[in-house]
Amino acid sequence: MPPGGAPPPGGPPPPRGPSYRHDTPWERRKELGFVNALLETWKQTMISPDKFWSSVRPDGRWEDALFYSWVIGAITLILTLLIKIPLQSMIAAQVRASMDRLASLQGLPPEARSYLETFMSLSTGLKVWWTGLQLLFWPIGLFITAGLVHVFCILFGSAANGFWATFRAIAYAQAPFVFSIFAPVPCVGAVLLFAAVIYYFVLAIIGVSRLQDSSAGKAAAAVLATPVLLCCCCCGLVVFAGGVLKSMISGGN
Amino acid sequence: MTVSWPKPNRAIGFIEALALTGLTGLLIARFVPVARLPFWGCALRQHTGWPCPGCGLTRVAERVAIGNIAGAWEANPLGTVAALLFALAALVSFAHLAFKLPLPIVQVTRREASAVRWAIAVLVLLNYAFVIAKAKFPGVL
Repeated sequence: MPPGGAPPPGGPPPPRGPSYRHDTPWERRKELGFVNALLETWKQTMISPDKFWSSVRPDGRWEDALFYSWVIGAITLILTLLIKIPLQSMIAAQVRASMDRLASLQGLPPEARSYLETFMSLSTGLKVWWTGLQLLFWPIGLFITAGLVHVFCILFGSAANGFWATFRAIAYAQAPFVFSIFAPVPCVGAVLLFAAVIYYFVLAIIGVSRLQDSSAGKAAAAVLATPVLLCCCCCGLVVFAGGVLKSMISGGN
Repeated sequence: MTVSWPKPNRAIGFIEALALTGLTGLLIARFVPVARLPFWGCALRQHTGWPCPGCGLTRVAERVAIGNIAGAWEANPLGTVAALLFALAALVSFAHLAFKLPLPIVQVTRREASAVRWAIAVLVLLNYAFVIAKAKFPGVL
């Protein structure tokens, strides 16, 4: 192609053209098999997100995306529980050390300490119940997240393909949360959880951008507006969580 | 702006997501005393004395949940409008799912969409000015 010239006719289709889009491996799970379809979708989302999102149909079935996200949620929550139970005493000791440090540095109120100690001393049975409850509410959380992101998609002008396109983007972007199974592991877990959350935002931004045929800037504004708003609502909580995280990473030093 | 009306249906969509968001938020605000959590609060306000644009939203949710609209308005006017819109979405969604109420499909031109966005941006700024005035210069309002 000569410099500055038009692309030759009959070349590869543009990455965002509708003709380029097809069902995801998960949506072809009857043909590929449940486990293969799950692994292939997860792998594509994590390793080649740009290629994956360019191929996802914005008008595909939302039920498939919801089911995928729920399976990812179930795997994450159950494995987290299995890792958490044997590490329970170690985590409790570490959080107590962090709380002592916070209490001496920032005057942690005794009520906060009481809340955290109660939460940390949950029995295994209660942890199982808590996991079950999280699993039950996972789809509701997904709907709420997609709804809020779509409000900002409308405000920032990146809602060309409707709500279900945003929903599908948010649902398929849940893939990195699998790494949060290591969250109970001291030190490394917090870093992996943080990385998983960041990568979720990256995937959600690319997903919304591709599925809504909008610019990355508008998609980023739409996806990040919700956490920014939540930070405004409860930034005290975020600062507190940040303090705990920092203390855990530094081992209380 | 063009408005079209589909046939009566129970198809779920964006309004149902907003309804779920509103119901969840208002139920939490009504039955969970989140504002009494010891680490709840605005860190910006605690450290600088200046409120953030979202200051008052917890109070808005709590007050709207018990029907105290005037009190909610005092805390954050735009937040109150948003909370009421979420509540309205819940009612509309109920009517849609229960009685097949058709939801209008609104299409706006690029210019109209731009005008709405600018109006919202101005409202957000005015609302923040109100929140600042309430917190820093209570005698002004």
